[in-house]
Amino acid sequence: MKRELIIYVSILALSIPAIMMLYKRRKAKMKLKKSVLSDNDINYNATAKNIAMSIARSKELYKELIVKVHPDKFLDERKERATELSAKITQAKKNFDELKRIENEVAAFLHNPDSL
Amino acid sequence: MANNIFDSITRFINRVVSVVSTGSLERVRIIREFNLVFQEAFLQGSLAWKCVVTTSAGKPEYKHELSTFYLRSGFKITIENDKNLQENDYIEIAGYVIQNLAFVRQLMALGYDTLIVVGRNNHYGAFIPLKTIANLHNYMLNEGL
Repeated sequence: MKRELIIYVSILALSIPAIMMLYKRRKAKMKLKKSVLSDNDINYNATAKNIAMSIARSKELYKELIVKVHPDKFLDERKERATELSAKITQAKKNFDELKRIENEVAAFLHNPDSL
Repeated sequence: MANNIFDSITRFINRVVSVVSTGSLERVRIIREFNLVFQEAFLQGSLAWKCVVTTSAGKPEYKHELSTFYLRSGFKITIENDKNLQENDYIEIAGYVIQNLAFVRQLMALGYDTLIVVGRNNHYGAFIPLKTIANLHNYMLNEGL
């Protein structure tokens, strides 16, 4: 009886640090998760829509925009801005929402370059 | 038919496990939103492919700090009408998902570590380790971990 008790107590004594370690690790994981989630709080519906539209339309829109502002088409002072816009378009190649935003910038640039 | 029943049961078990293990409906919500949007886009004709999103087994070697158990760590997009798709197309579709870094981080925080884009009928597919797209090191430093 006494021997069994000693065995149980020693098992308990040995398992406490392991349980504490697991608890600490889980707590740290939850803290990290919370911090990442609060920092990157995004709307799933809008993100899903953007991804679906990007798969469907962004290639087409990219081609349309990149042709419009190709730097070789501008020989005057607009060339610099065109280069800047081309870089932006290339960067947002797979992001439909971003390309749509840039489309407005491109329209403004083509119609009234002085406003930019 | 048998496959469909098996898929439905797996999906249901995954949802229950997600809710019980994380104590929130976040993972269920993200899958539901994506499926609704993809279905709507397909039915409206704006998206040529019928995509279905599920939680699936990820790759153990893609594990990161917040990964969940590997059998539930894959964010899987299955393309149902995959007849004309080539291997490169899957990588390209995966590219549209991973361009949003905030979303990738969100997936990582929810325990996903592998982005899987596969076809229903052919054996091609893309397996992307999320930790190579966005890392959590800055957060770990800020939290003093």
